[in-house]
Amino acid sequence: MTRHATIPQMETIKGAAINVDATQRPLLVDGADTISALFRHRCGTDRARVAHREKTLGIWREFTWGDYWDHAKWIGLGLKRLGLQRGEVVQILSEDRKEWLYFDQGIQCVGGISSGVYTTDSTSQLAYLLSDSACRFLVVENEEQLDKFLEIPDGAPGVEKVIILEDEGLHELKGDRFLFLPALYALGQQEDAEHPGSFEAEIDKARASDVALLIYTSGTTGAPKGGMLTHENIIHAIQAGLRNLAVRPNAEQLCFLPLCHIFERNNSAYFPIASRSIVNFAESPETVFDNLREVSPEVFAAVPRVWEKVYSRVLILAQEATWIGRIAYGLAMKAGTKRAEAEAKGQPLGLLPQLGVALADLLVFRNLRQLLGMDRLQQGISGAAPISPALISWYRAIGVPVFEGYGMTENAATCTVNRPGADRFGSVGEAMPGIDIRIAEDGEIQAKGFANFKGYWNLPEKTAETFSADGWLRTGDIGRIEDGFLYITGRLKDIIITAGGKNITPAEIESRLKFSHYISDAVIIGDRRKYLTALIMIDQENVEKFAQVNRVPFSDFASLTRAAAVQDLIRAEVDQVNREFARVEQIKDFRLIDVLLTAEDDELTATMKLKRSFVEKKHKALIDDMYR
Amino acid sequence: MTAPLLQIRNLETFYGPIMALRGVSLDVHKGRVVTVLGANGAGKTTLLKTISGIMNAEKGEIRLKGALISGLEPHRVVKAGIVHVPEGREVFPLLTVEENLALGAYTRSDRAEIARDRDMVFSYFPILAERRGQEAGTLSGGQQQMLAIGRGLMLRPELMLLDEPSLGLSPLLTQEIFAILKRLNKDEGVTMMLVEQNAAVALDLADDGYVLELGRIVMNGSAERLAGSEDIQSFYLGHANEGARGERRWKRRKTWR
Repeated sequence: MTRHATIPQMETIKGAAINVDATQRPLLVDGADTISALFRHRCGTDRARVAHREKTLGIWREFTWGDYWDHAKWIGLGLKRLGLQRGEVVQILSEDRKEWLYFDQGIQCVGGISSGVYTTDSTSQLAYLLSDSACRFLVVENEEQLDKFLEIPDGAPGVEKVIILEDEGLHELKGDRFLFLPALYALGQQEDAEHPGSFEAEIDKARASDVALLIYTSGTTGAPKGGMLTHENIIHAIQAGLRNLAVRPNAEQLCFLPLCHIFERNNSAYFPIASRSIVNFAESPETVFDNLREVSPEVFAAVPRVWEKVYSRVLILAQEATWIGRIAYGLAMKAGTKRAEAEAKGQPLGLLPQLGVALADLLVFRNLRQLLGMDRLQQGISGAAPISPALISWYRAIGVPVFEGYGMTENAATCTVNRPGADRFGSVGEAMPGIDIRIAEDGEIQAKGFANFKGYWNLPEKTAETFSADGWLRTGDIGRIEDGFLYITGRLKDIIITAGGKNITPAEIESRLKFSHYISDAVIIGDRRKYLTALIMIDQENVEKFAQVNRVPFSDFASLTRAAAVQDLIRAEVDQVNREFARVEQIKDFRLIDVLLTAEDDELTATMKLKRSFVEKKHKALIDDMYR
Repeated sequence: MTAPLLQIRNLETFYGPIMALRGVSLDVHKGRVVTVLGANGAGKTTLLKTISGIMNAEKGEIRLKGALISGLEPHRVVKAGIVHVPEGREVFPLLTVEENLALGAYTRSDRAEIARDRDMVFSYFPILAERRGQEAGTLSGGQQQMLAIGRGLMLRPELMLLDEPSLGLSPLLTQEIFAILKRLNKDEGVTMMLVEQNAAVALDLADDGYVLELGRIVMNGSAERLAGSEDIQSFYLGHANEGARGERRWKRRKTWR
């Protein structure tokens, strides 16, 4: 390429040429320094190959890179014809589907900035995002999401056009403000016919340092902030993905977490452009486990909550099995755990245990993996929240290798990861290639690399606060580095200072609580208080199961949380955790949250974590009750 | 409150490998009408069948006035005082109205008392008195439903289980039958457990309610509280929130709060 004076040394990893040294600019993947250029390259080389699969009316249908290119082009040109300028934000409010990605690429190719809105966001959250990003073009999936927009009190005057993907139930909809997807495609085709080559010309205008996407961070405190990620940030993420993940041409993967989140966006939108793996879209959040079984992916990246759910299902299955099944499961787990332990220590397994493992694999684990849809899984990734080491061990025991990684919007989720051969129990892994990490004096983890974002949209002060004086990204997490491996202990701003003056990192205690499979999440309270207490969200499925087995009567969820036996059960779990902590760090009292929270609730993030500030506000009565 | 008349604890019932009830606990107090709402396949009929002993519970217990009745044969459950008015009436088509009523009282022997109860049934359902000699199979659907209820009353039950009394009836007839059920409850003190898809009439009649979904109770409370819940209104009572466009079709997710 002529746009770069010097090209650094490249090497081919999983079929794509990338920098040998990811600290040398320009960062290139197959000669491309922007996502859009790489997208054009890929659609050229692999036009007839399958890029996506989507299930319609019960049948998985295939869509090629050619489809991807054509539709993205029509969208890009259509938006341009409607007046989209370079550097403007387009918001996408839809569940995961192929059109999400068509828009993502189409917008970026013509110089727009793509941004996603969670389908669980409320009208007021949508209104905020639209005005914050000065959005003129909004993409909504269907009737339900459109209604959210229409309910905005001031009518979101900045929005000029709303593009609607599905017209079902909307035939009566009238107005110049609304446009259905086929009409946008038609506009794009018209533009293409009148100005052939204009799409390619727009792609060439992009620079690596241009902002390509906004990722709004969940904002556990205050309003959400739009993290600006450049083409170069993502190119760096792609390089790290190619090196660290089991992606490869034709590898199957499943797209099911929100694409608005950097974790799924990298995995399903950007890594596949480099690796040529096939993205299968889950039908809906409710069918993920069935889709998982149908697809049986080779790469599967999920949040801890999903890994926990799968584990709970197996546990319940095992309990309900015949006695032969239960014994077989018990014996197999013993053998599998030995294998996992030996692997963790790097020791070879003795001959007899080896035989046991082989037998367990043949009779139990192979079937189990098939049942879960994990029989082809090469490398499972857990990220976006801390996962219990015990859970990772369990997966290793049944022969599903799960590795924990660490990253955030602000560094394009490119920071550290465990991988086969470089894997430490309880850590989040080594720094990815081209990333430097260090621990600041106050214990904060700081990172440097080309993956570090450009800043927050329209928030120069917040951006400045996010970087250290010498330009390192302040992650806000605290932790330590041992032997190159990063261990995370908590959040800097969550540090609790008790009335006695003792500093406590609640995350450590909270994660220990969450390792109980009866507790799905917990928030430790105690800042400027005499002692620590906890608000606990129970795991509905497992606690219900417990109540059933032990004949604890309950009707709805609230009555389940009130049952004395359930209170005792959780108390025992809390006591167990307390034993591992010093006296001041022990939980003196706790309350169970008695409503079943869903993703629509303010108290939960999109990855189903409790938001401390909201929980403290909403359940103030419960908290006050513990300090009476 | 006094001990409940019927007490169900952690009930689990299966159809082969399929779990139809996944741990149901509920109480019915004397003199009250308790309704169980739910969509098709929620497990409502299974719940009634398990109480009356037609189906066996895998786990859990059912107590009537404190005595364990789960696992008893259906006829012993009837003797204990629970009568089941099944879905689809199930009257004996070739027997007359009088014979059907007489069968309802087969566990009893005091002729004078039985005759008095039959007159009571006829006073609530005068049409049955008119048709007392007619074969039950020739009655209209609404009359058959009245007969099925009347047959149940002939036992002088402690508790009457009613499975979808409104099934296949016109709205007017449904109103009429529910008005009679209300009088039976108020005047005769009959305790009822009512399973219904027609939530509007059921909540109007009932004192307490439970919502069953996929074999689990997701909500319970007084009939007033249920009728006021947003979820019940949009999913069971058909109150549409028309939204900004005035023609909203989609439904928000249920939260059961």
